Amino acid sequence: MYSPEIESLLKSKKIKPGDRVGVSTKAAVYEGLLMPRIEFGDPSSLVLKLDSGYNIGIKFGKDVRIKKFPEKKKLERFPALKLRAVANLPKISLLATGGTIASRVDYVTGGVKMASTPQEILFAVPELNEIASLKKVKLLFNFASEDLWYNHWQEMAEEAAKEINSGARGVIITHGTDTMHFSSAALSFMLRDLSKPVVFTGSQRSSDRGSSDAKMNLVCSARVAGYSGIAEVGVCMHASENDDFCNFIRGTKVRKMHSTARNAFKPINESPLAKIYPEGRIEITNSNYQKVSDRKVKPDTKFEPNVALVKVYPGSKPNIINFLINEGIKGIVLEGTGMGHVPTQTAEPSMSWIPAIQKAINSAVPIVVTTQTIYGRTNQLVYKNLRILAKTGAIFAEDMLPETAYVKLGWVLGHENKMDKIREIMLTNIAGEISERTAVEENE
Amino acid sequence: MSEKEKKINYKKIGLKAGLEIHQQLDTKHKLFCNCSVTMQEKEPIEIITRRQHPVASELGDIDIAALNEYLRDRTFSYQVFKNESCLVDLDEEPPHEINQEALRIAIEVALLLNCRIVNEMHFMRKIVIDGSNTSGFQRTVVVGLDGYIKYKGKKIEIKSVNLEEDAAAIVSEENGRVTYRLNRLGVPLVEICTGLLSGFNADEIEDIAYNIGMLCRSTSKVKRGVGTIRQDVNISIKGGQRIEIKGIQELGLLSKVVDNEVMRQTSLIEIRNELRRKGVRKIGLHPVNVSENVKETGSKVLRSIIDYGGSVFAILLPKFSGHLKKELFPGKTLGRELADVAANFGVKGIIHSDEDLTKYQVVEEMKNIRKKLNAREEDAIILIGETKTKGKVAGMVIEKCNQILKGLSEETRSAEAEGITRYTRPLPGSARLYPETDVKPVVVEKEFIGEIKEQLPEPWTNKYNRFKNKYKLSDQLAKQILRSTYLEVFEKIMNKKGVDASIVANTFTNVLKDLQKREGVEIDRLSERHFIEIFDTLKKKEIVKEAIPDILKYLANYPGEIVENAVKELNLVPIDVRELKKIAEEVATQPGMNHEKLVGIVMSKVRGRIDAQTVMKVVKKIKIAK
Repeated sequence: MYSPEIESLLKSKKIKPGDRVGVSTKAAVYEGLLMPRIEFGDPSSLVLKLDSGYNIGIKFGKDVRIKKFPEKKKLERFPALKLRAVANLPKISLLATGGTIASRVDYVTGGVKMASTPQEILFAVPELNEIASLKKVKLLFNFASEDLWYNHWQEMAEEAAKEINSGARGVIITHGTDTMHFSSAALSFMLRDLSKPVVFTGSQRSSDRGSSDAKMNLVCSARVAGYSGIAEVGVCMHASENDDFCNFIRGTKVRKMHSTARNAFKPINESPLAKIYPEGRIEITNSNYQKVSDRKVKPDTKFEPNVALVKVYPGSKPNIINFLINEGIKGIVLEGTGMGHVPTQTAEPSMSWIPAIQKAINSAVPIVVTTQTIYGRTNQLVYKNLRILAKTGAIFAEDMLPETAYVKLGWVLGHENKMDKIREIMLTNIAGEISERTAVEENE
Repeated sequence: MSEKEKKINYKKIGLKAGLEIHQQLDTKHKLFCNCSVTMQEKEPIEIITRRQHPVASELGDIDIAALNEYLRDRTFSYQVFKNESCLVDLDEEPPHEINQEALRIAIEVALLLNCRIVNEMHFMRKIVIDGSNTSGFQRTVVVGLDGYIKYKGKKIEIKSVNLEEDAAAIVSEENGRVTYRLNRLGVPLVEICTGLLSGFNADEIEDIAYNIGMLCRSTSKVKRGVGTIRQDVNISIKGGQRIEIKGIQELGLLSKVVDNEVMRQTSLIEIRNELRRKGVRKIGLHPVNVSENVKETGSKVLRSIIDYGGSVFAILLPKFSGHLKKELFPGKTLGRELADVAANFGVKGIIHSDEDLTKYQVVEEMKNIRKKLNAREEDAIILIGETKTKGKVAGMVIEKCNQILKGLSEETRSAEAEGITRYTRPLPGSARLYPETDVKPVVVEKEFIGEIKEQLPEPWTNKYNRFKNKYKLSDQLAKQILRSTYLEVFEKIMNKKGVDASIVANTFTNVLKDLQKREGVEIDRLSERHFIEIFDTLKKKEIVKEAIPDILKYLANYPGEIVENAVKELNLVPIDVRELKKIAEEVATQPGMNHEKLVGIVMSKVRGRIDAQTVMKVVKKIKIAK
């Protein structure tokens, strides 16, 4: 927004962004299109798009005059794309939740408009037209993924199940990358009797640029959804910095491991399920998955949202647990150090987490222990401190990711409240979140 | 016959030109990240492969379709260097804050060009689709507007001074795979755009570019060397169209490029007029598939197409016979120009009827094709082999011919060696600008500008005049040293006084260049200390100037050494006339001696220890015993 002074001047002269204007200062005269003001920079600088295409900011002051030219900028018209119908393509559905998988640029204002109809998506990614036919494109909601919560996961699960049960060969869910792995874990638990692929995808580089990873991610996702025999929830994103292939990674065993790179999503403690080449080849790299079938998907979205994920570290105070319990928390997942340690035999006894953990468990608040190393498995026997922790009744989550354990705990608590039942289900492998064996990492 | 001898009448043809000069800045880091800009690492640590996609916008179906097709078959490989490229260059991390050092230099250049500095700088993304920017766009910002320089009493308009990032440099291109090196991507550039230059000849246009380049150099903060300054020029003549020529790396070729372009446009107009007089206005005939007629050909060029399942197409150009072999400008015939068009679409070469067909072994084939197409002798035939494009490229060549018949259209050409240019394919959607939202706009405070104004460098013309008047340097040497990397060192040494400026300047320019080129000496290992020491030693007459090249060579090999040791090692202690005479007299006693031999042997004995003139004088007087 421009400063109030400028806004009122513009209003009085009936000038709005997009109008051709002349701005004269003491030193010079400028002509161009008035641009909207973004939140950064000086709100009292007028932004003009010159005929060269460049934008400049002109400091507004009492000597500055602005006048409107009668020329009207033609309205942007989005060309109609003639979709060539290709017969016998698998029908897939695309559910959008806010990550811009496809967008276009308005060169006048510089605005980036999200593509939300099949038309617009196919216009941006025409290769899709030869891969699958879009049964449905639905915008569920529009949130940056850090702003999502369990009700969004429930909605995604319900919609995905609905699509599959009404004939979709697979479902693509476009999603912001930051918490994609939380959502993929949630749907892995919520979609029972899953019979078709549910593919989460997004883009690390904004889709308005020619180099965006969005295009290849979407194409590969369409191949998984339309052609693979993998009836799992998973994340499909670039496998390396090259535009060569994507990995389709199990939704409970995936994590965003880089803030910005294309190949941020990595499989943790497991191999990816498949390598997906945009040209079509699907190479299975892990045969441990449910096979595609015709059975109906049963969405089971009961979820207890009052769960927390807490990280321990040197100097961390255990009273956070007491605070959470007072707030009515129903379950806590701890990110311990190493094999699942918490400060236990601390020099200062009040810093030990053990009493607070015991108290929680005694009050029927389950405590699940994971490792903040992300890779590797927890263990409750090897060290004394681990055995002390185990004795409290804490549940050691094997090689489950902390984020996955957090989501799983919420889902389990949505169904059970008996401590022994909770323990049992937490330690039962429901959607591949626990590996029976830790394979040796192959150096690629 | 050189272009100058052709005597182009610039006024008559109404030559108008515009210059766009890109100058790399000598900053510590790149424009939007902290990578080094030295571009010295030789081996890439990794190669990353990417593709690019057209960005949907209000361009329209056809443009997007064309772009899609172009990009679909192209992969881009990027060479990554350890300290000279990072995740920002790979489009894996957003840009860091703008390099303040680069910003200062850009403002300095804009002020030197008398521009008005923008109040608030807004960074833009300029769409680039040839893969030279990993993100698919170039980040650019306008710093100064509406400036000028004075040239021969006239005011040359400087439309804008922009600060932007350089693109990745192309390493190779073949079969749709283009390889770039990422060390150049992100190096700060100032882009200086002039207004329309009218009423100048090619040499003056080159001179104006030279002047602008020198202004940049006067800041001492721009990079020097091959490729650090690149010129684009757009040219139009009366009756012609605006042609843009990109990437002229050697300033000295600019006037030649301009002249060549003037000749090209003039020749094309002439050809058009001639053809029109003969009644040819348009070529309506489509390309004809003549694969049958060349099935048995011995021609290697055509065989390579036929044997791989491609087709050969023939196009008939009515009354064009004789025109295809005409030179549009030295080094480019019309036939070659059309071949360039085909090359843009992947076709390696064409065969046209104005050529010596025996060279291609298609004499018989051509005869038959002529019959098939009902071609008359005055009609020209072009054969184009297409592996998978089914006659589309042949269609493009016909379109180009029609364009020539109609009147030139705007086009872009790229500069090659020796002032030759070639047609490059127009790509839709490129050069579109929209805001770069990952970088904050920068408010330029008045005080900041004032600060820079106070520290503006001495006008280079002052230096030039001083070098000529005070130091008595020749015009050529003065210009050479002004453009040299060693300008500052030169001035430092001259300020100490006591040395002949010509000797010093010559050392920094011609001597070093020779050592590097002819003997492969690594002159980059020579530091300021070495030069100062050498000229101090010269001042003290502890060496003669002839010793300098050898000492430089020695120090380049042993940079830790001092000049004194070099002199001892290489036996370069000066001798006087008496010693010279002694040596000469001794040599003169050798059997079978004559004056010629004597000079040679004595010279080799006293090289670098006394000046050549004295040697000649003394040796001439020596009496040789019979």
